[in-house]
This record gives sequence, C-alpha cells and structure tokens, in this order.
Amino acid sequence: MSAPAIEIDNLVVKFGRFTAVNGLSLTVNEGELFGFLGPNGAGKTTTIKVLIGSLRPSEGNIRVAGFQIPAEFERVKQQFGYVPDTENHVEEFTGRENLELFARLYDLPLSTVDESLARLELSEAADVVVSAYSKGMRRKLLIAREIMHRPKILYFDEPTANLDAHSTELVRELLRELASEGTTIFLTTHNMEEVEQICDRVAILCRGELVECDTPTNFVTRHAVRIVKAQFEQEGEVVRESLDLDLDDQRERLAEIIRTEMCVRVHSQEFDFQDVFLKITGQAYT
Amino acid sequence: MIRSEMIKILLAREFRRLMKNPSALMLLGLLSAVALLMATSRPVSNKGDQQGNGKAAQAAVDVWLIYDQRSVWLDHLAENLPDSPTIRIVQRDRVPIENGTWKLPPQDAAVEVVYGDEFETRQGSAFGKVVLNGRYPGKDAEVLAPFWDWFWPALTEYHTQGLRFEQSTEPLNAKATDAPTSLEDTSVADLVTNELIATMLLLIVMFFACCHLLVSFTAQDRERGTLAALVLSPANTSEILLAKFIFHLLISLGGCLAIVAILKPIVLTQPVLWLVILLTSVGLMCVGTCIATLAKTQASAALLALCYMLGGTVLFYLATKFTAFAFIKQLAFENYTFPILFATMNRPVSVFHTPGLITMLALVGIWIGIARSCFFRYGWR
Repeated sequence: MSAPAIEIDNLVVKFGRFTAVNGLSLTVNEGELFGFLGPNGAGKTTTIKVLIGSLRPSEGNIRVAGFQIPAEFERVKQQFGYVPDTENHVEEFTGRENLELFARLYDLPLSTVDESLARLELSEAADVVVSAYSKGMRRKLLIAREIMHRPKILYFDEPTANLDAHSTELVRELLRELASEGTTIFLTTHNMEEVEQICDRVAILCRGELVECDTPTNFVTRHAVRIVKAQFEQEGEVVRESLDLDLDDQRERLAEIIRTEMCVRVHSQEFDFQDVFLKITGQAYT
Repeated sequence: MIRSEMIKILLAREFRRLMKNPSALMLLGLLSAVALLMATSRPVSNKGDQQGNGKAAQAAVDVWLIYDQRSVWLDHLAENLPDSPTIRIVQRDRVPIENGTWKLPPQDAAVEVVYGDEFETRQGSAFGKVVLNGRYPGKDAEVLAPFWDWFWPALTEYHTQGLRFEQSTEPLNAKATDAPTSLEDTSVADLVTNELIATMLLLIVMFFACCHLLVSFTAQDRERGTLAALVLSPANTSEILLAKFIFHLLISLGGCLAIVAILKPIVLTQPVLWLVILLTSVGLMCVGTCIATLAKTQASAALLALCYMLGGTVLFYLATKFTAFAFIKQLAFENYTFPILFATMNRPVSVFHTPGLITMLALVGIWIGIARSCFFRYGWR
C-alpha cells in the first residue's frame, strides 16, 4: 500500500458557535483519485481551505505530503496545486502571460507553458486576453496553470464546472492520466456520474461529519437494490408494479405476473449513485 | 527569507499590470503636466499690471516685526529669515518712540504681532488668534508684499501650533488715504508660490501612488483571488508584500522626481527631501495595505482610501482648532510631511526639523508593523 498523501485526524473547524467541520478523519493515499462529496454547506470547501493553508483549523492534526499544516505551509505549498471553484487569473493578461508568470515563479522552462496550453486545447487562444475568455476557457486555463509544475497533490473544487461535453471528457481523461502518473487528486464535485466514473475512493460528508468513505464499487455493492419493475396489461389497462426481490411474497407476485399476466416490460432497477448519495445524506425526497 | 529573483518576477508582474491600466498612467501624466505648466508660467496678478507680476515691481523695504511676547513660531521665523527684504524681529519696548508713536526710518515698514483675547498656552502648545497688523510707509500697501511672500510660506512650515493667523494692513501715517486691506482682498495668486504648488503636487503623487493605487491593485488582487494564487505559489507572503511596496515606492519616487525636477530642480540634491518622501511613501503604503486587507471589495477599499484622505483633512483641521483633538497631530506621520517638504523647497533644512523626522520615523515604523500583521493575517484569506 502506498504512503498517505493527505492525513486528516479529527479536524474541527468552527466559525464562532457554528461548527463547519466536526471531527473529520481521513486518509488519502498517494496516486489516488479521491472524491469528496457532500451537499451544500457540508464542509467540503472548508476542508480544502484548511488543506491548502488558507484557513486555520480549530482542532485536529493535518499532514499533507508529510508536512504539518499550517505549521509547515511554506514548505508544503510547492507540493500541491489548487484549482478553486472560481477563476483567479489576471484579467488584463493573456492566457500565455498568466501561465508564464507562474512558470517563472516555479522556475520552470517557458516551454512548459506551451505544453500545458496544448494539453488543455488552449494553444489558439494563448495570446488572447483572459477577459475575453469564456467561462469554460478560463476554467481550462486554471487547470493548465495548476498542472504546469507537476504537483504531487492536486485539489480540485468542481473540476468540470462550466465545461462543455468535450472539455469535460478532456479534463476527466487528464485527471485519470495524472493519477496514473502518481499525482494524488482530491476533488469535490456535485456530479455523481463523474465520481462513479473516475474516483478510486469516495468520502461523503454531511453537516461537517464524515458519513461514509469507500470505493464506488463497494458503494454499489452495499447500496445495491434488488428491485424489479414490471409493466403489464390487466383487464385492458396498463399496470406498473415495483417488486422487492428480497421479500418472499413479492418474489411470488413477480412469478405470478410473469406466469399469468401479459407482460409488457420487466426490468431490474440500476444502482444510482445520486439516489445513494441523497439517501446517505438524508436528502432523498420521500 | 527574501529571494531577489521572486521580487523581480513579482515586480515585472506589477509593472506589466500598470502598463495595461491606462487610467493610472493618465493620472500620473496629468500630474506631471500640471507641474510642467506651473514651471513654465507665472502667477496671474489681480492688479492687471503689464509685467504680469505686481510684486516683482515693488522695491523691498525693511520691515520691523514687532512683538510683545516671544514665541516658538517667532524663533522659527528668526531662524529662517530671508536675504531680502531685511527683517528685524524686535520686542515692542525696544522700538524707538517719539511723541507716543514709533520713530522708524522713513522708508521702513512695521508688522505688529497682536495676540487675540482668547490666546492661551496649554500643555506647551499655543492656541487662539494672532493678528499681524502691517504698517506701511506712504500710500501703497504693496511695499509689504515681499514681506508677506516670505512670511506666509515660512509660517506654513511651522503649522503644528493651534494658532489662527490673520493679516491686516494700514498706513503708518494715519493721514495716508489708501484703504486698509485684509487677507480677503489679497489675490490667491499672490499667496500661492511654486514651492507651495510643488509640495502639494508631491503630496498628491505620494497619496495616489502609495495609497490609492496600492489599495486599488491589492484589493483587486484579493477580490479576484490572484493574491491567493500568488501566495500558494513558491513566492512567500513577505516577498509578495515587499514587491508591492517596491513597485509603488518606485512610482512615487519617479513621480516626485519628475515634479521636483520640473518645478524646483535645485532641491533635488537635498537628502532630507528624499528622506521625507521615502518615509511618507512607506507610511502611506502601510495605511493602504491595511485598508486593502480589511476591505471586502475593491470598490469599498477605494472608498475607504478616499475617506482616509478626506477624514484626515477634517481631523487635522479639528486638531488645529480644538485642544481635545490636538493629540491626533502628534500621532500622524503626515503631520510632519508638509512642513518639512515645504521647508526643503525653500532652503536647506535646519536642525529645527530633526525631532519631526525622528517622530515620523517612529510612527512609520509602527505602521509597518501594523500593515505586516494585517497582510499576513487577512491579506490573502
């Protein structure tokens, strides 16, 4: 098993009387693509702010890339990249100028600027001022900036927000590639499909507390439902029934429907991460 | 640890940003243009004489400055007497008297210092009204003009006391027919000198470059999140703050250099001038940093900077009028800027200003501590 890239032990963040994060403990391994989910106000962004050193925790012990946060902030900050949920470019500069500034700060050769721009398909817009960029282009420029110095850990707040279908796929592919190269990716998103598709592990946070942390496969196994939805004709009318196969009487009802009635459609219900998320966080509509 | 490479990169960023911000450049250009126009023109006289400057035509007469009670401001004037006109500062009982009236040489004028009824001295500071009663020989009050031209700027240098000065003139000979003139009748052009304009322009440049521009750029960085991006890069917080300070200091020094070079190039070599500009600029940058870090948005930061300037002016006025506010002047480094800058514009600065410089240095030092603490604690978060 690889060494932990992020270790959070009993993190508590309070704003006055309000507790935003309450006793969060979490370990993210090196090279892992980790999804951090939760409804609005669950404490996701607060946790990321603590991890990047922008917010001081009220309690708890945090280690990132082996360094203590916030005590060793100056040493650890070169090890990570942070893609916030809002763009923070110098609007008057071109895309290239924005990246060149950071290439110089990281002491990188300027050729990495072109490489990053090409990787996010921004080469053609490189010499256009950022104020003329679309939201999606700004987002991609932000990602290009943060991957330029090949950080060990990448924090993503909503990585595919404002991106079109093609760019979304491009970014997901990039994330998989970076993770395969050993970069630890810690992302928050509301896109359940994304979590299911790309994350190695997922943690669900609700009201500042960790509810569950597992692989998407285990989530599917644990929360899989054995429901069959049958649609059939009965006395000239279309009837729909949902049958739980874990219950004996409902299994018998299904057999009866199939044997006696004229079935129009029978299908099993697929696992839905969105439903699981809503159920776990207690936000499902009843 | 401060790395020069990082400072260079961050400085280049700030300069490139300024180049892409035409409004800031336009204001700097405007101030330089005002200085240039001032340097190449002469004050307009309200007398409408053909020479353009009525005062220049006046022959300087010797003036007796007569007082009852010696004060610190009189000591200051005595230390800064001009080459022309000749001014004698004498106590009233030493003025020769004949038949109950002053017996002065025929062409000499007198200026009598009269303290108002409410004049008093408290805690080492003087407060109240002082009337300067100018008595001129003959019928033309303009013979006193060279004296007033020296007196008001010299007095302005020494403005830390809570005194209100008023000027009036009347003929020495009661039978002279010229009507008495007061300060209200004096042309503004007669009072405003290039030295005064230069000092005001320097203050505007310093405020603009070190407070307004710094507040605007820093608050914008903070609001957009670019400051956070820089802090998360290898550049550390001290380097970012230092680069900002160096950038705005260079603009301030450049602007001041241009204005002084245009209006009064002879004082360019005065170290005290640059020391005061440096201290004031650093002090204003510290104030600006605090404003930028405590304001939530760029708009509110710009408004706060304006309030700082206007509020400061009102407080200074109150401090000269009311004893309860007098302490404000002792706590503000800006209090020392104007008199010392104005003094350097007129002549080499005397030892008289050393305590002011030391106090200023101490106050700016305190501001540096406050600004650093503010920026480190709230600057990018």
